[in-house]
Amino acid sequence: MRNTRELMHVSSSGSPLPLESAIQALSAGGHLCSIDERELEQPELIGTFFGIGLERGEKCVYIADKARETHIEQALYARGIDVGTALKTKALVLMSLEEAHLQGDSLDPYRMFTLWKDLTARVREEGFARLRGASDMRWVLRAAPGSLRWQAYERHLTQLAADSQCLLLCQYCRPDFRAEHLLDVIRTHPSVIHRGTVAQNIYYVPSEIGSQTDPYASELENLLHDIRRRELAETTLRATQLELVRVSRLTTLGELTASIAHEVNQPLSAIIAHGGAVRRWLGRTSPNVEEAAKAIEGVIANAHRARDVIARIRALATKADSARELLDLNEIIREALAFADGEFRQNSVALRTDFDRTLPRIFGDRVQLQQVALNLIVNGVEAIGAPTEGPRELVIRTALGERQELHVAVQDSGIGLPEEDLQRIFEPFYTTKSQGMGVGLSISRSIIQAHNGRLWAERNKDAPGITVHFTLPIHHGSAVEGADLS
Amino acid sequence: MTKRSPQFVAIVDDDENLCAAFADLLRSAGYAAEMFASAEEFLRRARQETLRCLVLDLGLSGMSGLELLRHLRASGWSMPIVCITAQPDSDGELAKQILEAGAQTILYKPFDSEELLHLLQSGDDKDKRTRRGADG
Repeated sequence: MRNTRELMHVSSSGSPLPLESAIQALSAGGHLCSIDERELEQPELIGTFFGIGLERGEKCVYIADKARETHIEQALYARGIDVGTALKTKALVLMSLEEAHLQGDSLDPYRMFTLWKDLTARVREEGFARLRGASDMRWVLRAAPGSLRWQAYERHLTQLAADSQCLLLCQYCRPDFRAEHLLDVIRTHPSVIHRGTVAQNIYYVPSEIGSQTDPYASELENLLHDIRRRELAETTLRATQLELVRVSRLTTLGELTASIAHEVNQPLSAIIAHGGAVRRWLGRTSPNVEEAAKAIEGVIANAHRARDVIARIRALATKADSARELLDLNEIIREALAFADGEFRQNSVALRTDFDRTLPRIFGDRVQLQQVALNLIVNGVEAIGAPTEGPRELVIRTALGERQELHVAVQDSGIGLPEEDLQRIFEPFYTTKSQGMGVGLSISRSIIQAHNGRLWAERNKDAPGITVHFTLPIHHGSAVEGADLS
Repeated sequence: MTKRSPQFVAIVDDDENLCAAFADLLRSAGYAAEMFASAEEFLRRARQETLRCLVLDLGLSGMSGLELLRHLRASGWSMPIVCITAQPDSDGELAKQILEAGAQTILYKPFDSEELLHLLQSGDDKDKRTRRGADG
């Protein structure tokens, strides 16, 4: 069974919006269904759905059994709507099934569609902003739910809502309908409300596909459409994740601005000094060309240093897609260390490396793994933080671990973290630093996992501070691409 | 009798390339330069009486430039000290600290090479004036 993805109306924290806000956020021209677990949910939902419409000067028409009217009125009263005036001005119309959908005791989709069409056509003349319509769909039970005519009716409604910019809501009380009919309901509504969540319906099948008369051909089209849409969704998700990784990398670079400025200023200072020397060697009464030539070599060498710094920054800031290649992990860490040099100086932290020079190569994304190494190094240096009496040392070890994997450990001598915080440092937006977004470790873990490795932290056993470890599998033979970030 | 002038301008910077560049600049202006890669090396090798000036990088690994400056002044080293740094110092706090610790001035990398030479030159002139005064 596929899981429903509820991504349409989400707050900035990622959790679904409350129903009120989600309905407020609905754009005009929508056709929704609600799959209600209990009958009682229906008037509650209409109270919100119509309440917002009436507050916006829309005409609200509800079609349901006569017995439902009182519940609807109560729900609107509870919201503070002057129901009497709304009914009098025809801003609120409560229409019985007999008036609306049924002719005698038979279903007439054409008549119903015409009704909605007429209502939308008149709404502006009547002085309302637009139509907001809803219906309790149990009347379908009296006819033939799931029939092609009925599905056609729903598809026409989708088109009508889009053309006339009205909002239409069809309410289905789940216990009253068979699952197969509700599947059709889901396929024919672009948005679904379920358990208080308004969701864009990824299982909606547009009418140009769903209107096939051959059920097998229709199902085939559905499947093909679904496959295409899933692939598109997953491609978009992968692109978004890569972009998130890149943005996090840029954030790390932003935090390293002072270090990077230092890295660039050093060769620039050397260039200026050598340049000044050249001017003086050549400006003498007897120019010293030999010394000037040596100084120019110094200018060139330092210009190359500056170029290398820029190239490293550019590589880290690259927008290129994830690319896997055979890599020397020690080299990756050394490159990251070149970035963090200024951080060590600024925080007066000494570096100790213990690299296993015989490490086999791994297959991975150079830039992403550099990003992980850089994150762990910068975090470690910052954890050592303010000057203290103890050792101020960051130790980085690489070794061939058990289970044929490479093992990297970044050990800081900071004050450490309580056990409960240690478990939380990999959560997105969790941070103990005054600066930074708190996504570095979370993204580092995603990157390592996407390389089929593990990343974890533990408190140092015999000293203060923590050690962050990660492992990566050794590359065997042919270049088999690892999993994407996900 | 005229006191013999100290010979060297010492440069303490753990960036080998930059150290060499400053030494080149100083030599081109007629100074003898002595290079030190760390504060610890300076304390081990340098002799006060041979130094006319110290160019001191603040961002040294190990003992920092500021710590060396304080240590030298506390130990009675009196030659002019010019601090250099690549660290930003928008609020001037760093400059305040090094002046309080007894340095003559601070230059922010990358600085104009003539600026450094000018500082050394004016230090020399002042030194000569002082010595002339003492001799006369």
